[in-house]
Amino acid sequence: MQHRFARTTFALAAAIVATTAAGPAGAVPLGKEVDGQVLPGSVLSVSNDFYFKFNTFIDEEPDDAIPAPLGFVELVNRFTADLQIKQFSIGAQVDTVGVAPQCSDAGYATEFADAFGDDTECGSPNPIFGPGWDDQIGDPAMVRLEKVWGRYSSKNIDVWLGDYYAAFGRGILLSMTKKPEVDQDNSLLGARVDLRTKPLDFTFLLGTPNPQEVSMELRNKNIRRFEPTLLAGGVLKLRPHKLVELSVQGVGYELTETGSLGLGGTVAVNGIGGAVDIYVEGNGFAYGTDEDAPEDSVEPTSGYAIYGAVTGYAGPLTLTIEGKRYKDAQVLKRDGPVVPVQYNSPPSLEWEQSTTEDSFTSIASNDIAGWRASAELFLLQSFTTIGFAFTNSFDMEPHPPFAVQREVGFSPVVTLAQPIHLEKVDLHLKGHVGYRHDVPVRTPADLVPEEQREASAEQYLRHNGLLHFSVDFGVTVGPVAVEWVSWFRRYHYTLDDPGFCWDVDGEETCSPNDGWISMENALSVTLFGKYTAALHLDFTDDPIVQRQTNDGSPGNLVYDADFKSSAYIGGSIILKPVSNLEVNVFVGGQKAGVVCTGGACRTVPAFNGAKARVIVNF
Amino acid sequence: MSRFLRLFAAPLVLIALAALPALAADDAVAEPEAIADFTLPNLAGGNASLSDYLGDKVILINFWATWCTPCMKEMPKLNEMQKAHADKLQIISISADEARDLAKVKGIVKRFAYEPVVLLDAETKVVSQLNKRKDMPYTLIIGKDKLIHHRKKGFTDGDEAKLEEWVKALMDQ
Repeated sequence: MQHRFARTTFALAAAIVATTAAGPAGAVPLGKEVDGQVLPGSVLSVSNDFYFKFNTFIDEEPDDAIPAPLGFVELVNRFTADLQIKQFSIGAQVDTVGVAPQCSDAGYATEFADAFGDDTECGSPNPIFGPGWDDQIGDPAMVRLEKVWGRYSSKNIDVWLGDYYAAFGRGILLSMTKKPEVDQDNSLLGARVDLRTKPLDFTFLLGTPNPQEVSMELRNKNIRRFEPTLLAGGVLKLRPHKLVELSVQGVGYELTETGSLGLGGTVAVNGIGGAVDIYVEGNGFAYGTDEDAPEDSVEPTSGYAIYGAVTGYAGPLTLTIEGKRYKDAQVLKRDGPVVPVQYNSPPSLEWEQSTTEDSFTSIASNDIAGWRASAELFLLQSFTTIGFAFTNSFDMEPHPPFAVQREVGFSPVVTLAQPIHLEKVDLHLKGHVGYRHDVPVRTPADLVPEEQREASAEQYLRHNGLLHFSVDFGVTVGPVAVEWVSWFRRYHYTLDDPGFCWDVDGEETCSPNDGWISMENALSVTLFGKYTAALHLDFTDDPIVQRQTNDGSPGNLVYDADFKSSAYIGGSIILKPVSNLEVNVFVGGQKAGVVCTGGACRTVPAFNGAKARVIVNF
Repeated sequence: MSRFLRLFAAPLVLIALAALPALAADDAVAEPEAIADFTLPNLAGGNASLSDYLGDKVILINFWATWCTPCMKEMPKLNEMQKAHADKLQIISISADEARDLAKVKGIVKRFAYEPVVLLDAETKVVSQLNKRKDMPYTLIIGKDKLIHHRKKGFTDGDEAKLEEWVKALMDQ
């Protein structure tokens, strides 16, 4: 098995590198501004990101009848090239993923039969293709032309043909952008034109969503083929006064199918009295009806979203007050290759998406009002920054099965950032502590459909609470930097009756009436800002994280019905000898869950084993 | 242990061979590169284009985000640099925050009394051209010849000296 793995791994790696090998060293200017040059003033930029992952499964119950799945290797490569000729550029991104071993490997087939029985048909350890593909080149590998673009940029006009990105206003109507920090790339494939003059800007776009299919971090398993649909939209911005900007915006979604429409506008007034900014945005939605939908469908046919923000600046103090009212404004989603594709990303007013935007309240609610006040005091002499935020939201969407309740949420958060500069030592401390509590409010009987009341555990109301804090402490002495980062979340809920059960369509479901804890800790040492070694220790007993399957939504590599609380220990080495080269190696365990980087989140897959990543840019 | 070594040996050898050519001089581009013009919303109002600044001064383009801790360390240093060389240097700070988080951007700019030009790239238009992996912070230094001479990814304490050195060398040209 070891030789088979080595041979198969080598062959796959060689094939991938050969087809997407990095180009020559250094920048590649193809000519200077000299008459007679073939491509004067042009530059070819190339980058290659190669990821090797060896997945293993730890059998926590070796004496039971359930064998552990067999380990496998996953190789992912992303090659990007961009040719810029003066104001024009063209480019493409090609992704490749391969998995080994396969059932065609005799050794693997034998191992599979030994583990699962001779009567069980051999199965791939990680099938790449999911539903919808007609042009598979073979299960062990997938090659995709993910993105292709042509672009012209100048002072007054930009034109894109191919893949591009777009967001209108604060993202309520449209937000299709690139978030490589969380491995999401939801571009639009089509055409976009921007025209700019001094008093006004105009944008028109047309295309189909083109979400990334191959993931670097997520496990490439059962990737669905994406069904394209047409989207068109535009925005007109006016600047009637130096302090004022107005816009009108509109988007038509899924025009080749049900056909939905969003229309709205924004008003921004900046620098009132040199100290106050105001922003207001309002949008309305009209949703097309699916012809196959049942007559008594409860899907909304319209919605609206209003958002406003006022910010005041008074010396070292900044105060921002935001408010929102969303009613059926986050309805449009589409099945994506891995995770659903949503056309918009409205402000949530929550602290961090993974921390306080949970499934019972704001992020998934289609009927919510809320406000947030946040203040920040910056003490210049000490460079201390103290922040405070308070969010209050009223979620009016009933959430069965816990009675038919709505929630009123309260979320105070305190933050501190403190750099300390001594003669030869630099210290920094950054931390936050916060708590969110959702108080249940029983929904009036006349507002809840009968079938929902019958399915709900009407006698119970549930409080949810989430305590969260983080610490980031670092010490730098000359070329050596040591940093400790820790995140903690404690989620709990209270019910009138512990351990209650309820009936849904004749099937009994029970709740253990217990909360969960999630912790992530990392201790790292970095030399010269280029070479880092880190130790990771994570823990979670969150049942949702532990039980998530890996179809469409990555989760723990758990195959047993019973979950256990889990500690995950891992080590990583990151090498960045020069800006255009990074080598990243991880060995150990990594828990599944949601990782957020400032409002952009991704679900991180669970992992046991070893992985190495090499990123090269030219 | 030997099994892991065997599994890693083949791909790591290939990776090393493929990566060897990438070992260019530390953070300097091998040959200065042209850069295309771009236009983004200006935090101060209206739009601003790179071409508004090219040629007259050395340009330092810095990509940052409100969630980026090293960016918050770097910004005061860049502010000092901008103040010290206002007549020969223009720092263009591009915020890559999402549209939904734009309320935070100006607060941070106010916090530092930040003098560089701040542009907003919520649509990742310029990020997708010049900083595809959205490394934060990420810095490009452009000379008066309108060519990119240096790129730098990340920021740790002490890096400001290196940035100052590169900027001064280009200002003296």
